Amino acid sequence: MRTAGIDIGTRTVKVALADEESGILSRAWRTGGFDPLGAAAEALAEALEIAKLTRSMLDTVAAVGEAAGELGVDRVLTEVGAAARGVREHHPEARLVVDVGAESARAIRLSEDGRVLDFAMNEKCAAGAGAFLDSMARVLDATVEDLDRFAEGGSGQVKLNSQCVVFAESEVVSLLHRPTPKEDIARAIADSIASRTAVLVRRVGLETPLVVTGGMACSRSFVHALAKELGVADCRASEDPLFSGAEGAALLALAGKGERS
Amino acid sequence: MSGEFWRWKEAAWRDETADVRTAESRTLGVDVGSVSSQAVLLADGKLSAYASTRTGSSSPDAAKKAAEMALSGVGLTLEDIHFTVGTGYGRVNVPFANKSVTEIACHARASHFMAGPQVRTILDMGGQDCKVIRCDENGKVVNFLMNDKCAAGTGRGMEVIADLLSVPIEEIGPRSFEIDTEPEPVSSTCVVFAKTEAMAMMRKGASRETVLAAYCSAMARRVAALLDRLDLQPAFFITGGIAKNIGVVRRVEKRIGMQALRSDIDSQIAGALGAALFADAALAKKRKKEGAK
Repeated sequence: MRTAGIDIGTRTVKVALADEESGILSRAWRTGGFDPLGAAAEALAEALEIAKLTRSMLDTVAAVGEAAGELGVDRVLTEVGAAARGVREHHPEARLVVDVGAESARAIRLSEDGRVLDFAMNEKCAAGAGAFLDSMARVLDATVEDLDRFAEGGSGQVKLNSQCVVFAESEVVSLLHRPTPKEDIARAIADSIASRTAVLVRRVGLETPLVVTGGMACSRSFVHALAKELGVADCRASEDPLFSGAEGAALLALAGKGERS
Repeated sequence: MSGEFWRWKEAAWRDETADVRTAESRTLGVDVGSVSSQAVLLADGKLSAYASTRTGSSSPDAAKKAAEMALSGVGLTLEDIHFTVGTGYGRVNVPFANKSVTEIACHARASHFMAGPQVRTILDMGGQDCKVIRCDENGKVVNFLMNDKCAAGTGRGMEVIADLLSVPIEEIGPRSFEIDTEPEPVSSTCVVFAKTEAMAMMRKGASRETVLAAYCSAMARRVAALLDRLDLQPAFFITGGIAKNIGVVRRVEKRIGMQALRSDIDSQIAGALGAALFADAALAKKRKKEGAK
């Protein structure tokens, strides 16, 4: 049996192919923008090409994400289940998954055998998600990698007062003009997002090992800040964090999970 | 940043008939807000000149710029002013002020002046916060509520949407009515989410006007919820920059079932006008005290 998992995020679309023998076969991603469905088709075509397969050779195509129902796939899965499954493939010991994408942030607590016990997510505010980091990087004219590098030299003495993404942008501008070292600002940004994400973790109950996934797992300073905020040593970024949802969807589809659509 | 559709017009106004040089009292109110700053000149208690500018990154500079813009039109400098009151988020950063007063007190005082003593409920929709103020027949604050944690329902939120849809911010209100049916509001709790919802609407073929309507409607829903919490009493008046956005104002009025009083005075200068009125009163008190000695 061979499957594809498609994860339609707010910013990017990810695809992973899997089969029973070798697990994950290939991965590809595209920027979603105004046309996430077109991006999904392109990413799927690329993933098929890498694995030297054609669409007709797939038994099941499963999708997660906001527009998953519009894709015309065989199965639709939950983002929580897919992220958890994807992380457990690389980190079978994970008991808590923190999945932070562009606009979503979730804390998922798992049983020893990987079942979802509880989860919490941001519903009203993007302050604890990747959109916050994106906005700040734009204001500072820096990349996420730059911010990680700056944050290492940050004193931790500067804190952002604003929680809101929009207000924090203005606050960062005024900090820059004060002037405040960019190292301190970068550290304050990571601390601010982590403090919001930690609220979700506390809501489901802290558990370790903790694995961070989603686009924000690429931010080293965020993962550090979250570990510090929660006071845990066993907190790491997932392997291929962008693809946890897509891989999880493909693997769950292999097991026959998901709603037929 | 491309386009700068958010950029509202900086303005200066003066009363051509006023003779500010011969006035016995010249008082200034300066409101340094998080997004915009205003200065208002009163000559013998009459509104004589004002200016509105962007705050930028330095509050003292914005205070000075707004004051100079207002005063230069009528041929005055700061030295000609008898008393200055600072207000707003940056009120402690008005270096030339004799005193500072909270913007809540200033908005109440100004609303009383702008719309009359019947005003009891004031909605101030500013750049970075939204306040509901209850005042008495003398324009004194009785109670207030505010949201300053989230950009949804504030001027900054509206600026984000102006840029996203490439619609000049002054056109948002009128254009939000160029629709056949009123759409469901977008998320009223987060500008980032609302932005994504707006993009999804456009993708599904909604016109810019429909998206604007959905956004104005979300903002109206949010401020109406704040108004509900303070038990709405007539008469109702709106101050702040968003009072100029008819797309939000009409939808707020519809939600709460009450019309806002209208004024000919620019709603965006309410804070500075209130400060200037406080300055006028403080000057009169000071002179009386000096005269009694």
